[in-house]
Amino acid sequence: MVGNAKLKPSARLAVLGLLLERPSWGYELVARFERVFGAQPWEWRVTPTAIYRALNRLEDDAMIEPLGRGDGERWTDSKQRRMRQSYRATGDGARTMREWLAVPMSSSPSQEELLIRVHFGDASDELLRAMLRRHAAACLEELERIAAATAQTRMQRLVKEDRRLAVQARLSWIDFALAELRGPDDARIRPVER
Amino acid sequence: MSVLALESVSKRYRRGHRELIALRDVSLEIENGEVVCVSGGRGAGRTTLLRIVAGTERPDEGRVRFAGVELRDASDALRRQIAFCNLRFLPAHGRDACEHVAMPLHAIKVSHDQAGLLAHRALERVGAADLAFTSPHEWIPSEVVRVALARAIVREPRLLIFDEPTNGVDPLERDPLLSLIQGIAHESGIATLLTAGDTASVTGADRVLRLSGGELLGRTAPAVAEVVELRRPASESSQ
Repeated sequence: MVGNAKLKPSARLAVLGLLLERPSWGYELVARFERVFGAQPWEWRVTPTAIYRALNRLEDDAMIEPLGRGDGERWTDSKQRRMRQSYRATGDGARTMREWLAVPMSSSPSQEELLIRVHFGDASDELLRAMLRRHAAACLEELERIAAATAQTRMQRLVKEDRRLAVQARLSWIDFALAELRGPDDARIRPVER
Repeated sequence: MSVLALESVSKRYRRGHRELIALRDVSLEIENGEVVCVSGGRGAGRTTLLRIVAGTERPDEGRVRFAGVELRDASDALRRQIAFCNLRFLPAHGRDACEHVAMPLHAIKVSHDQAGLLAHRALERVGAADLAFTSPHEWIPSEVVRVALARAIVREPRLLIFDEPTNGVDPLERDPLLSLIQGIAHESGIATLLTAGDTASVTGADRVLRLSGGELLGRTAPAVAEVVELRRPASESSQ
């Protein structure tokens, strides 16, 4: 069994997703990663080293494979190879990503998880909306657990309130995301003929 | 059988050249004694949902059943088993809590003495017996909630709708109030719908839902295993 279906939302998963979009090489991946995930100061930033390390680990796990140089030869210089070797995702890589995207998002996803899901999960707006509804369901279940929790000590009350407000923020984000995804056909406000 | 059942309810409002979708395909069931909390920000459709459940507005599509009867066909007596409670009510100054709580009983011709007695009992039940002869301007927000709750339950409704139950209430008094509402709902088998702009009212809720852009998210029906069979209090059948 190759691959790891339990990949965490990490640079490795993001690189796998980028290679599923199209084959690419190290230097280009660094630039693409930044364009997709790190364009804003508050977004996700990783070092080029982390991208190259991700490529090595994905290759070890057989989720990606190197492409030939075109003249049938492989890079001999390891530094050159690191910079310019092209890779593509394998069937195992594609399955791993699919399985990961199919798992519902928790009520407190990391920013990395959120970015990967929104970027790679949007095969269609409908799929993305379904993902958001599952995410909302997870948040509401969490709120039910919070609602049922007894908080007798000061510490318990502080933690409970912190958690409730965190989940409330997620729900507000889901409201925004669902509104953003509504097309002209299901917009909240739409023109009507007189 | 659910006390309240909304089936695929939709509601639209016309605004000049535009149409605003307030509710889209909303289904919701609430059982006897169950507390359901629906949160939703401004414009999420909360007020429309409340109006439709209270029977003051009709859906464009879908059905609303209360105690097995289409709400639009329900008799006045049955409709009176829905208690609507919000904190925007402004009780007339000079009227004490006891008179205020007894007011819904006068509408159904309960004698003055009996109404006073039942109002006292309701105030005791919500932990506000000491407010009986105080005026509204003396009450702090959590006491307004208690009096409003007493007024809502004095006729022993089957469905209690409470909009923003903790609005303006001191944070430290919030959870005890919500636990009180839950306790009364469970004890008396009152299906309870709490609605709020934020999630501050979730404590004690058996189910938590979210209205988002007119769409209701979450568990819209109770799981079969969770349906609590609560009997109506004996006092009701004797009345």
